[in-house]
Amino acid sequence: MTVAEKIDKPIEQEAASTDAVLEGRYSVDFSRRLADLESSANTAVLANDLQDSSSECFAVISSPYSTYRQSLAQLMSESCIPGMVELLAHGSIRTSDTDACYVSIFEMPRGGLLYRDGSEPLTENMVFDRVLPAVVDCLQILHKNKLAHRGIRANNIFFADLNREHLLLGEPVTSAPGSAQPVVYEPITSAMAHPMGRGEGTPADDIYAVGVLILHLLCGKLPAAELSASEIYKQKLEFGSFAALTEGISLSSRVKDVLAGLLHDDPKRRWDVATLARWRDAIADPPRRGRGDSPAFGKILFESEEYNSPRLLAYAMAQNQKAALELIESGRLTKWINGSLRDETIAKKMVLIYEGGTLVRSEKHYAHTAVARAIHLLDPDGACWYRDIVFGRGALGSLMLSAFQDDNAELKKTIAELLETNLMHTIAVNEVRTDKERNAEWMPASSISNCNDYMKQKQNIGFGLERCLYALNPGSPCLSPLVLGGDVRNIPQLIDVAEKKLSSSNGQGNPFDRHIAAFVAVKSKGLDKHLKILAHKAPGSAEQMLVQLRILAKLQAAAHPLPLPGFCRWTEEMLKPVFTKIRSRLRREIVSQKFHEAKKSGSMVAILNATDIERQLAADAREYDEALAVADEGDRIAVYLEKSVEQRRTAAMRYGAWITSVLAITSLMSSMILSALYFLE
Amino acid sequence: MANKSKKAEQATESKMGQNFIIVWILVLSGLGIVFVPPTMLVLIAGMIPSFVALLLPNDRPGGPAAMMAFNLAGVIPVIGILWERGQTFHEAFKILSDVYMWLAMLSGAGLAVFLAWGVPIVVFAVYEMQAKATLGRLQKQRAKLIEEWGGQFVTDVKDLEQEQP
Repeated sequence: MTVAEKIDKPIEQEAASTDAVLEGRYSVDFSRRLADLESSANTAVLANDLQDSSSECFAVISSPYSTYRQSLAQLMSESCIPGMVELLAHGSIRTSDTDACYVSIFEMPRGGLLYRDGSEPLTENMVFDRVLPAVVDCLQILHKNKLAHRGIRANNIFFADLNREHLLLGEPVTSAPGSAQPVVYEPITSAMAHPMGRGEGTPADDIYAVGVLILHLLCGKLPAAELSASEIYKQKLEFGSFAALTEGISLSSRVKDVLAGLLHDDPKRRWDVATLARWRDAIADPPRRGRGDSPAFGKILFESEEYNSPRLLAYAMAQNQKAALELIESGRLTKWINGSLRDETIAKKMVLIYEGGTLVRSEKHYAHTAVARAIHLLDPDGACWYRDIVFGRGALGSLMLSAFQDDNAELKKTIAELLETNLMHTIAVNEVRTDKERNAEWMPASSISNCNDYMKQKQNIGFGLERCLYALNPGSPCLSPLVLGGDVRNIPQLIDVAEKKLSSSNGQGNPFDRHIAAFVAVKSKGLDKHLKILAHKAPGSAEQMLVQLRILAKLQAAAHPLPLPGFCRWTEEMLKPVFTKIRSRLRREIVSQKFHEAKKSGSMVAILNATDIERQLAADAREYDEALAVADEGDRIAVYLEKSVEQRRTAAMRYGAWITSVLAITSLMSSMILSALYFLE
Repeated sequence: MANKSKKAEQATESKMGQNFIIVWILVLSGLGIVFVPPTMLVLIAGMIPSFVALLLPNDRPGGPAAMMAFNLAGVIPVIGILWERGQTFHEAFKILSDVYMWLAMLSGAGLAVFLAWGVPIVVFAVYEMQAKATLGRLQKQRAKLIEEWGGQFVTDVKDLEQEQP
């Protein structure tokens, strides 16, 4: 089977709209930004419904680096979710020949924002009678479909109408889940995670955010605004979220009861949306208030501080990883887990970290991996801490996108290091052993092993962190500098946009950089063998160039059979050094001539077939060696001829004497015969 | 050493062969003087250039033999004339006093000298022409190769020559 047959072609290729009109209906006015509706790196602009002039809508233009929540978008497209802005359409629109962007059109909340920072606090009645029902309506549908909104916050609630009667939650689909949430809105499990690495979360996270939202709206200021993220996290762990966030705030008893149910730190004991919907009944039996992390029976000394909370200890260990490793290897932590936490299973797993097992001291990054594993054992429901990165379940992909967006070399290096280790595999295996339902929460099992393999070949084009990026973000567009801004999501689009860019730049650009190679490798199957061949060729060599051309030719044949003059121009640039490798002037001229003839067809396959460069190079090398041998032989003959004058003279003497002798004998015989014939007659 | 001893052996064999021929010549000459003295007189007189050639030092192989053959070829017709006129001393002296007869007899020897001198020169000239033609062909071939394979070719050839002992 050829690569051509294995390329993932979209069943019905999404045709990009032209003239900034989506689906022939929604025109996007890029010049009119709507700052209130923006979140993360995306841009919100005004949009118009060409078929219904009375309709008002806005468009969110997704950054190439943003995560698009496809499952949520699908649900919003399929069903009308009350209490949330309606997703009218989404797709790619082309703004120029080479530029496109992914746009989501939403119904415009005409009444504007419910709350702005610095606004007056809302009344309890307003919050409980108008805000809460709208939020509950929305969450009931989402949670029924096992989806979380992850964007419930005070500045993401809008009035649907000009009369400011109906409220709507802002859109949650165009950015990574929870990425725009202030830290205080996040539950303990994801509070310390990188904003782009908070993960899809669970419905319980939305309920927690509703609790913070109520507090925020009633207080008129962001709860714990004066505290840093780590202070908020530590206070939540120490006193429980309810106590930490409501301390010093005067609240009515019903508010306190509702918040106690919503802000409980144990997701299992936290209210669900059904309970929230009937909160008036629920507070009849006041819920128990969370008290932070469950304390152990005894304390452990770490860095001159005593801890009896495993999560607080885990946090402290993450802050000082060198001391954490000493603590782990000393065995004191194991003893504490056994004696104070009374959890033999975790204690046994902790022993395995420093006494062989799956982790060996000589292993690369042992120290960081050991600490990360220990932190995970102490805080199994929390985020994953590895060195200085923290991310939630299923959030590594969006975190990588963020690293590439900011071009954060340190973050990329740490993620690469993490993927090189078997930490994710170990954590996933541990969790599956404990609870089979948690399988693939961090990342799919196949992705873990694949990414590990890709990182082993990180030096090679088509592998490494870029490959992991596209493997973990299958919906992400190609982020190659050549096609960035072209919203390239499949191979035909990639070739199309790259062709236009190369045509406009007269072949200048690289249509096979690390991003494109990785993107293509993820989107097509069976290309790895070619990439491995490529890896064995010296960088910048003619052989490597030819393998690249062969791969692109296969892609053209498989995904874009139309002529590609831009690629051919680039090919010409690339082949120039290859042509110079042909030593024979005549052969070079012939191959060059054949190339120019084949170039007219716009087919890279035709170019490769016509020039047959590999065979030509081999023949050229062989003939060059032969020519060298001929020249060498000729030189040796010339030197011999120049030096052998005396030899020739001697030979001439000998041969001359022989000729003279022959002539003498001939003349003697002739004389005798003629004399005999004449005189004896 | 082996070559020297071989050459010495060859020289000894050649000397022995020459001695053998001289013995036979002397025997035949003795018999000729006894039975056909006028013929022998003309023959000895006509073969004087060959005797001189035999006596002179000559390192050319086959030189005296060629001289004798040419010389004899010139003398034989004169002896034929002597025999035709009657084999007497009178006729022998008459022939020896005839300048044309001397011319006939000595022209063979002259021709031998000329050929022995001229033929090697001609052959050498032919050899030289051949060598020059070959050198010219090789130069053309080299120029073509350089034109085809470029300047690097010259360097590579030099490197190749240096690599070889």
